[in-house]
Amino acid sequence: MTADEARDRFADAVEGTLGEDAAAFEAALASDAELKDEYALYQQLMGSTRALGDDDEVQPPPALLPEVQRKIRTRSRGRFFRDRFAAEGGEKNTLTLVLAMAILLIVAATMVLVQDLVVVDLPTTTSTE
Amino acid sequence: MVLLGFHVPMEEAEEQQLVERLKRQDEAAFNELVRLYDKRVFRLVLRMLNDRAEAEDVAQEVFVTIFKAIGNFRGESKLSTWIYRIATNHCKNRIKYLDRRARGKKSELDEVSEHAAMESASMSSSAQVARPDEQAEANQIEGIVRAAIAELDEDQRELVILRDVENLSYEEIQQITGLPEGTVKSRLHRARLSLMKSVQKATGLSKEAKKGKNA
Repeated sequence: MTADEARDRFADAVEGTLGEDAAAFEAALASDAELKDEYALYQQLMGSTRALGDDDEVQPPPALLPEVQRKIRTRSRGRFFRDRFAAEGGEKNTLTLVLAMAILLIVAATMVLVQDLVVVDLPTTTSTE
Repeated sequence: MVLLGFHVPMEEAEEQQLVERLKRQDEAAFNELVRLYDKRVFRLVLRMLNDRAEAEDVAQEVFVTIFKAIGNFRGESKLSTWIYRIATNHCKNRIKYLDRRARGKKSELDEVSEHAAMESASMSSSAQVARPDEQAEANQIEGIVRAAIAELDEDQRELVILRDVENLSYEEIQQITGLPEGTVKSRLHRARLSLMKSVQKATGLSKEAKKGKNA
């Protein structure tokens, strides 16, 4: 096996799929120090690349799920992942809010009317002197 | 399935049940799916884009697409393979979009190797520390490899990430990329040789910088 042929089989060697060419590959490495160094670097590279897969430093952002839900809610015009207010009450909650505001308005208007209608006659003070 | 904080591969029947619930647009099932795959999807997307902000946005879009397109999943491949295909397609589209916007791509490789060179030079000049320990050297190589992967063209980068980082089988990679096995293997081999050259170049620079500092 020539050095170039061996170079083309680096991947097979690392993955253990050389089969019957394994001996020829080993012989090529043994006869060429430069090729041997290259293969060692290739192995080291594979090790480092695989180590990236075990990298626990890469964590998804904690807001990933809420953000995905928000996007689906917006794009489905509220059909999916409705917010808690809408999901729990929906139209019923909105009606309650409108009624409460109407009652407040009525109470306020009544107070103004009552102020205008009720006239309090205060007793006149007379001098005893 | 979540076991002591680690995600373990789902059983086929369990996966089928989840898919059926997803097809009924069950929101709880979707939340479960996001929790199962968020780390794998985010890691893949981050490696492909090498930009955290872009990766966060693309990861969200991947899950939105899954929610919308789950009805088209025919179960011919594993659910994870289908998810990886959506993720890699999103990444490629985003890379094209960013390229179109002519966003200046910073050469992180040069930055890392320069930093590594300075680090090893400063370590060698220290009287107390004779040379970097093995762990520091391994971390340095890993940093260089990470940056070198980011410098690969998107097709090569995709294969290196799927095969060497995510450890997927050639069959899964074929299903994700739609490429024949021979093409996957030859492209992957070229990608690794290219990575090797980048690493040689970067570590060579470090050694030269170290020598220069010592001289």
